[in-house]
Amino acid sequence: MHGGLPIKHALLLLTALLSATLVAGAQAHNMADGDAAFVAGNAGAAVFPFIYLGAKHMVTGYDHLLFLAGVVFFLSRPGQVIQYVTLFAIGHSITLIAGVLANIQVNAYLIDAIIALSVVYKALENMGALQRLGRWHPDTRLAVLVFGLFHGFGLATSLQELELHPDGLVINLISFNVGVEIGQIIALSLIVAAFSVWRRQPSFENTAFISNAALMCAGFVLLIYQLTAWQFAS
Amino acid sequence: MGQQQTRRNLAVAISAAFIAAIAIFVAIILPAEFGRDPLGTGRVLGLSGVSETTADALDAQLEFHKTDEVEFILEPFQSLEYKYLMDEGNGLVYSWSADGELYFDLHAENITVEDYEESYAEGDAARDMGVYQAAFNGMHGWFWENRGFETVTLRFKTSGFYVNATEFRGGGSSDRSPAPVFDN
Repeated sequence: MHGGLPIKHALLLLTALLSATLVAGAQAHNMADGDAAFVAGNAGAAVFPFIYLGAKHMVTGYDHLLFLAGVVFFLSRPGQVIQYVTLFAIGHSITLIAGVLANIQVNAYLIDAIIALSVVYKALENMGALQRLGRWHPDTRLAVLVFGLFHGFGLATSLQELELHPDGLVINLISFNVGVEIGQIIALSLIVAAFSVWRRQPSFENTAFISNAALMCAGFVLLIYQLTAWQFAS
Repeated sequence: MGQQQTRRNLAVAISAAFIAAIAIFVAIILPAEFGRDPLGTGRVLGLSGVSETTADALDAQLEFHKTDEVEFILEPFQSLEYKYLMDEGNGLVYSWSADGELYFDLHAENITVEDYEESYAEGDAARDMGVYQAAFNGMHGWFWENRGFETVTLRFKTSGFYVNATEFRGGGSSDRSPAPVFDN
């Protein structure tokens, strides 16, 4: 009787992950049309609208959320969560601000493909694949920081597509970044709360492996999606 | 042996995740997002064309298609207004041309909200043309004023989806009913 439970849990999680991927995939994680129109028509500093846009971008950004879910999967102590998430925040803030200010143009599809790879990587790490398959052990903290840099480039490209007005650029950019962090805190508190409930279930140990396989599957779907979209666009 | 077992589990899980990802992509996302349906699953699930955005290109209209052509004489410092009764979403194509410069104001008055007016373009010109779409139910049209010392003849043509037209001039108004392009 108990044996059937982990598989049921895993199936539920897999369905949830995939439907989230599919629903969100429909918009390819760009800014919604109305928001894009607002940014394109905006000149001068607009602190709160940009905080809102940043938070919305993070909360509805399934690729960032999947990665964060992978990062906090085995982190049960609040201190650890804060440490890893701070590293991620430092990473993406650096490239978000530098990318927009220095007007660094990166291919949006390729950067989103790397973000998808970060989900695959995190799932592999959680499955213990990196300790077992290779001799080389990557530092998990360093990995979060480095992938944070790529996520920041992703944020920067989606912001640059909107042709930001130079008036108030720095203030708007910082506001957007603050919004991203607020959105991340909102999303993380939900994710961490859900995981802490789940972690107390006896089935957690059994389902952790297969759940990360599902997470990896979602990462692969995103990766193939972005590479195909890139081929279609070019 | 345990080491061997976990290694095999890993290999199976990673391969399964990758194969599942390809299957989901080919069967569901490719037809829904990219309009390609190699397995026919998009047709079976009704996903084909989910992402097609024909709605942006086509804007079907319920009102009869009408054309209107008028000529106005504006003596120095005379003005007039010519407006169409249009429902929200109705569109028209317009052109006007005058043999002298006129002040113009393209604007609309909402008939459901009292005192709600919106101006879309104003300035001094001898000609203008464009495509106009009514943002709300109301009277949509032009105000012209001759601010020069010569009499100006203004020729005005539209084709579009409106109920009727009203000319406001010198405190009075007169309605016109442009004919539909097809009678039936």
